Amino acid sequence: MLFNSWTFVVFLLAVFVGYYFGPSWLSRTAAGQVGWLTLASFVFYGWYAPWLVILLALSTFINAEAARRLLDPEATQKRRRLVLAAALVFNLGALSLFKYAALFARLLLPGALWEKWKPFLGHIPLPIGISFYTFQGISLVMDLWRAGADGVPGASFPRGARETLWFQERTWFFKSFFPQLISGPIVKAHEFYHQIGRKERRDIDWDGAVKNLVGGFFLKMVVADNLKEATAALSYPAFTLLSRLDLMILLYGFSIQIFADFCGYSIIAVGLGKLFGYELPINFRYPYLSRSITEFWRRWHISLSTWLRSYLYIPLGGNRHGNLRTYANLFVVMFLGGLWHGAAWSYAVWGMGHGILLALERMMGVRSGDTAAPGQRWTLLAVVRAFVIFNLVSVLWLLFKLPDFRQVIQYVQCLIHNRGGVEPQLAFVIGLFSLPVVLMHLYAAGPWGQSGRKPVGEGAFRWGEALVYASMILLLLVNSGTPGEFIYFQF
Amino acid sequence: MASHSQARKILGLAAALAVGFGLLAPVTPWHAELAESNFQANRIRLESFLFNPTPKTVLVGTSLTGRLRPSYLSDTGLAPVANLGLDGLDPMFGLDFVLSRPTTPPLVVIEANMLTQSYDSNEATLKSAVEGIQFRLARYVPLLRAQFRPSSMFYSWLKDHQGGQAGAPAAVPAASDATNPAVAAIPAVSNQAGSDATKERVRCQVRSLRERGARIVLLRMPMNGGAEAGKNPSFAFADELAREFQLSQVDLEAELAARGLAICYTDGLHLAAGSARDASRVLAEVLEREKNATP
Repeated sequence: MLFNSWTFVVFLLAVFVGYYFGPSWLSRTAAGQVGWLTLASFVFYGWYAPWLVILLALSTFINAEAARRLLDPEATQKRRRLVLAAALVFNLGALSLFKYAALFARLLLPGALWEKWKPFLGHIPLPIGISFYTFQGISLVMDLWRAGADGVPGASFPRGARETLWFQERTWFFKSFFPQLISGPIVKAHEFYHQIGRKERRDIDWDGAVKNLVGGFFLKMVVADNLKEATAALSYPAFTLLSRLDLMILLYGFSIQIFADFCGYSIIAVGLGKLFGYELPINFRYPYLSRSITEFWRRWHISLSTWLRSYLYIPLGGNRHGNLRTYANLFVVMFLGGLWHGAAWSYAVWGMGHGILLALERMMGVRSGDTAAPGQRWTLLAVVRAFVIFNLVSVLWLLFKLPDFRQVIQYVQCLIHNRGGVEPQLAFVIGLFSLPVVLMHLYAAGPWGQSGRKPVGEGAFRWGEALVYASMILLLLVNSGTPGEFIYFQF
Repeated sequence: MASHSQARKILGLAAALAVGFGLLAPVTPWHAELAESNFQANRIRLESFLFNPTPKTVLVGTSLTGRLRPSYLSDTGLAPVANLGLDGLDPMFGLDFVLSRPTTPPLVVIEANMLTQSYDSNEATLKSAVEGIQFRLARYVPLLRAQFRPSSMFYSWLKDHQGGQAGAPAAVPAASDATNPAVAAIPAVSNQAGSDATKERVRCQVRSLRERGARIVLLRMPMNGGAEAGKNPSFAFADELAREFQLSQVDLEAELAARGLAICYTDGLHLAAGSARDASRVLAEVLEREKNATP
């Protein structure tokens, strides 16, 4: 189900009413509320393809069972290791089968054998959100493996049928909670488990929920969806007819679009979580203010980069084994992070590009200086660095938009050889609809954004803020773009 | 207890803004006739046709015809006019909407340039939008209509002030478009012969319109030699249709040339605002003359 659909509005209303106003066995007990949200999440997930819930249910059940066994205080270390290995094999196996089978088979199988298996492997459907919920499952078993019950506050070994049932229910809820199920943020077990319980209407953070929902829908439906039709020209062979400046404008437009689309989804998820009394992690922090690639990854898709750091980079040794090993680890992590986005070599190259840049920054001793930190000043050099990083990141986004390398090369050739001039309509659309993203970044970079100080008195600020959000609602009503899916659904 | 004062403020202000905008927008003279994207431009044309009383004249075609804005024809005998010259869509798509109305416009002008090709790159998006709740609501809630989108209103205003005059600087005369790759691509597209199914569909639509008593005119839009008359199978098919149903045809390029009016294009294919205005007036003149000549 799409957040930006009328079906979802009705669904959300029904779920909300049942959750807080339903019969007492449902709305007045933790088990009732959690069960209701879990059921709703499975309906949400299977809305267009009901068979998908089988895989989600299987994945959830196996991870919950592995978690229970990892929590067992009587389990030996050897047994726990076996459980962890089995859970990881299952999670990564499912991901590999559904997402990467064709890619790797083509690479590894001899030609004749590949041709024989192609009709099967080439047509395995990709279950939506599998990359996200698989990573959540891994975070659960890894947190429990590392620190037992301490690794996941709120989790404890269930004794007896009733506790086991409650434990299973909570785990099913953790894996399937619909706001973050399909496109994240990737919630780690230690961030979420302790929040699971009975929620009251009076606990709802309405201010936060409304602001996140309005901001998220605005970014998606007004910014990203309006940019989408313009950036459609960034496809082969359409772009070959465009001028050099148009190609640059399109690239920047796509950069803004992908940010607005994904950040919008994440913010909506946070807002929805608040409606049901849950705090989901912030996924973006003005990424285009970054002055280094290292900083970019602390601001972009934060839940993925922290996941990769916690469950891949650190287990690989992180930066504890010398420079060379650190560079290699960065490269491997980003390569796999790239492949996580999609089963195509272009995504791997995108990840490698980031990995190489991260390693280069380490070599050169570039510090990641947090531009949003209080007291950090924007010098001319910092502005130049942010501009360079934005351009590097944007160029790498090309691999998301043009998955065929030859097309990327052709884009670069066109950038050099095509005619000059600019298409006014393209510049208008991209300029106008990028403006909100540019302004929010500028505000965050400015003295008020950095210090948290208000430019005017508290009362006036709150009215001003309310007016901004109210205007966003008006624009949502009257100025939304072509409705469409979220870009990150494909991952 | 969590705070909700700001949420109330936001929702209250939003309601006030929406009511204010909803009341003001329809009564002010500003509305968008153009849009910054194909999808929104198509929405404007479709909504204008479907949500208003049946017009006296409807122009049906592709983006070529889309340049003949209803406002250019507002003081002619053809008015009120609706334009279903839809970007990225074939004339058949627009004709389906004409036929979907209980009352048919007395005069239906069908673009002949792309009559044999099924050109439907935007069809799925537009169809799903038309079937969506927002489009249906827009019939009753004017502020939801594309013509009141602030960005489209701004774009329309800019276009009117930048390219609204004949021979505006943005327009490129036909001769200098020869090197434009967009032009070179056109003959390959428009010279497709078209399938029998496509032709049959058009025939059925024309027959239905005739049965409803509509006067039908086939219109050849100027397209910078992109599809030379002799080579364009759409024109050959238009000739067939004209013979079969005794339809009249108007060749705007020839009519403009006969009056010594230069034709300017924006991208080598679509008429620039000044030429579109000239073309609209010439079309009105020809159709009026023809109507008066008919006993």
